[in-house]
Amino acid sequence: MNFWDFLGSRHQQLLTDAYQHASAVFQCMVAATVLGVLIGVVTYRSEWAGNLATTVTSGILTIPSLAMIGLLIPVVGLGVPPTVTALTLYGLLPIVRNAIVGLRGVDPSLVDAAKGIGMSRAARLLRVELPLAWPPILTGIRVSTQMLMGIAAIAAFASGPGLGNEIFRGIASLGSKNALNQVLAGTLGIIILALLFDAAYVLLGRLTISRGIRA
Amino acid sequence: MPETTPGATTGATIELEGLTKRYPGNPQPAVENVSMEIRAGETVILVGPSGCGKSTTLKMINRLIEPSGGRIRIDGEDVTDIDPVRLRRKVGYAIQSSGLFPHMTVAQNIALVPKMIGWSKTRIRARVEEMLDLVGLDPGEFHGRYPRRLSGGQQQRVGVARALAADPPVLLMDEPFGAVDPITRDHLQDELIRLQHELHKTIVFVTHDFDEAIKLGDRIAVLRERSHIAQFDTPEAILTNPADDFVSGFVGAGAALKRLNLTRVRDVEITDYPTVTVDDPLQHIFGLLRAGGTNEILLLDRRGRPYKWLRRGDLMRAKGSLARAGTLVNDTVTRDATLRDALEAVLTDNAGRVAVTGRRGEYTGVVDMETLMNSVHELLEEDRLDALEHRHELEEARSGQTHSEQEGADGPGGEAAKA
Repeated sequence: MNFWDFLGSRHQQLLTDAYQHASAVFQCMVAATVLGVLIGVVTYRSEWAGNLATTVTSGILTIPSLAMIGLLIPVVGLGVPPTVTALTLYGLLPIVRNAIVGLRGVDPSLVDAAKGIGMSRAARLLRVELPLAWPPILTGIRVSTQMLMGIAAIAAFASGPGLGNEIFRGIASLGSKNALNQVLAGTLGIIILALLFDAAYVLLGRLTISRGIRA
Repeated sequence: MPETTPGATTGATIELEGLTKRYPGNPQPAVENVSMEIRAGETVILVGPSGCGKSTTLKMINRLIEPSGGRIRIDGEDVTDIDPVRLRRKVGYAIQSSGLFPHMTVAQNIALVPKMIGWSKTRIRARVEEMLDLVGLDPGEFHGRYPRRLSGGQQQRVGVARALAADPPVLLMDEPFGAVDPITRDHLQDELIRLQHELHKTIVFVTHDFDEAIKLGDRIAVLRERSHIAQFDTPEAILTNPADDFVSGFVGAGAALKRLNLTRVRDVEITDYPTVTVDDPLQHIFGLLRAGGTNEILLLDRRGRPYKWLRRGDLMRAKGSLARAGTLVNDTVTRDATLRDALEAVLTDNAGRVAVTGRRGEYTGVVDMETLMNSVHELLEEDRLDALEHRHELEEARSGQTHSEQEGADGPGGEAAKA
C-alpha cells in the first residue's frame, strides 16, 4: 500500500485525530494565553516578580515533555487531563515573557499621560498598556502554538488525543507495512496544522493590531 | 473662527498651600513649602533651571505625584484627598511630545475623556470636530489619522485638544512645546495665546525657556532649587525689576530687548508717510518729491501694498521708469507684530524705518527708529515705576511671612547660589 492509498483508506481516522489535535492545542493555547497574560500583568511592575515568572516558566520548559506527561499521570490520571495540563504549562513561557517585555516596553510618558487625563488603573491597563503590548504578546502566542503542536504529539503516550496516536502506533509496529505511512501521516498532519494556525494568527494580527502601531 | 460652546467652563482658582514633596531616602525635599495663588482665567508660567522641581510642583496639582505635605484647592474645593481620578478629569493635562496614544486615531484620542465621563456618542462626535477646529486642524482630514502620520506640531495640537476635550476649568502643561522645532514652537505659542483669548482657562505652564515664559505668561513664577519661589510677578515687572541676582541671572542679558517682545506695534505711534501708487502719473510723483518736506516717498502697488521706497533723484537716474527706480520694500510688519519684530525689520532696512501693513498687506503707516527708541524708553520707565510701587505693596503685605521663610530654610548663603 503506498502513502496515498493509506491516506485514502484511513482519512476518517486521520481527520478525527487532526481535529482532536487542533482542538487540544487551541484550547490549551486559550488557557495559556489567559494565564500567561494574567501572570504578566500581575508581575511586570516589579523587577523581581517579573524575573521570577520568566525563570519559573522557562524552568518548566526544560522538563522533557515525555517526563512531564509521565509525571502527571499519577497526579491527574490518563487521557485528556495530563495532556491539557502539560500543554498549558509548556505554552506559558513565550506568552509570559513577551507579555512582561511588552508591558514594560510601553513608553512611560504614555502611561503618565493616561494617568494625567484621568484614566483609572483598569482603564489604563485595558485601553492603553495591553493594546500597545499586544503585538509582542501575539508573537509569543504564535511561538507557543508552534511549540505545542509538536509537544502535543507526545500526549499519545498518556493515551491523550491527537495525531501523536498515529506516530506512536507506527513506531510501535515498525517493520509492518503501514508503519512508515502512519508516522509520516501523523507528522505531515502536524506540520499542516501548524501552518494553518500560523496563517490564522497572521489574520488575527491584521484584525486586532491597531493600524497606528502596525509595523 | 469656531464658536466655543455656550456656557463653556472658564477658569477656576488654584491655591497651593505649603506644598511639599519628600522622597524617601533623600534628606532634602524635592519641593519645599510652595504656596501660590493662581487667579481664575490666568496663565501662570513656572520657570526655572532643570531640576528645580517645577515639573514636580505641576504634577502635584493633579496629584500624578502625591504631595507629602500641604493642601491643594481648586475653586475653593480642597482636592488634596479626593479620588485622584475624579480630580484629573477636572484638570486638563498636556505634556511634552504630546503623549498621544499611537494605537488610537486622532478622534479616539480626543474622545477619551468625554467618553470616560459618560457623554453621549453624538455629543462626543460634535465635540471632537469642535476641538480639532479650535486647534486649527481640519476635522475631515485629521479625524481618522493615527498619530504617527502627524507632524510634531500637529501632534502637539491634538494633545492640547485632548486635554481640553471635556472642558476642564484648569489646564496643566508640562513643557508642551519642548520637543518641536523653533518655528513650530513659535506657531504653537501664538495658537495657545489665541486659544486662551477665547477660552479663559486657568493655565499652569512649565518651561525652562524664559522667552517662552515672557511670551505666554500673565504672571511668571521664577523658581529656584526645591521650587522656592524667587519671584512671582508679571513679565514686565520681572524684566525691569528682578527681585534678586538669581532672577536677573535667569532673565539673562538683554532684558530691554526682551521687553520689546511684550509690546505690539499697535501700541506705539505709527506715523504717516507720503505715498503714491504705481498708477499715479509721473508728473505727480515728481511734483511730490520736488515739493520738499520729504526726501523719500513710499510707492504702493495697485492693491495698496508697500512696493518701493523712492528717493529724490531715483527717478531721474532711472530715466523716469518706475519699474527700475527706487529700492524694493523687503520687509513689513503688521500691527500685531511685536516691537522686536519691528526693530528687526528696521535694522535690516538701511534707512531706519519699516512700513506697517493691515490685514491684507495694505499700507497703514510707518514706524521708524526714533519712534521705537522713544517708546522703549517710556515703557521701561513706566515699568520701573510700576514695579517699584508693586514691590513696595508686596513687601508690606508679606514682610512677616517672607522673613520666617528665609530664616527657616533658605539662609542668606543660598541667595546667589544658582545665579
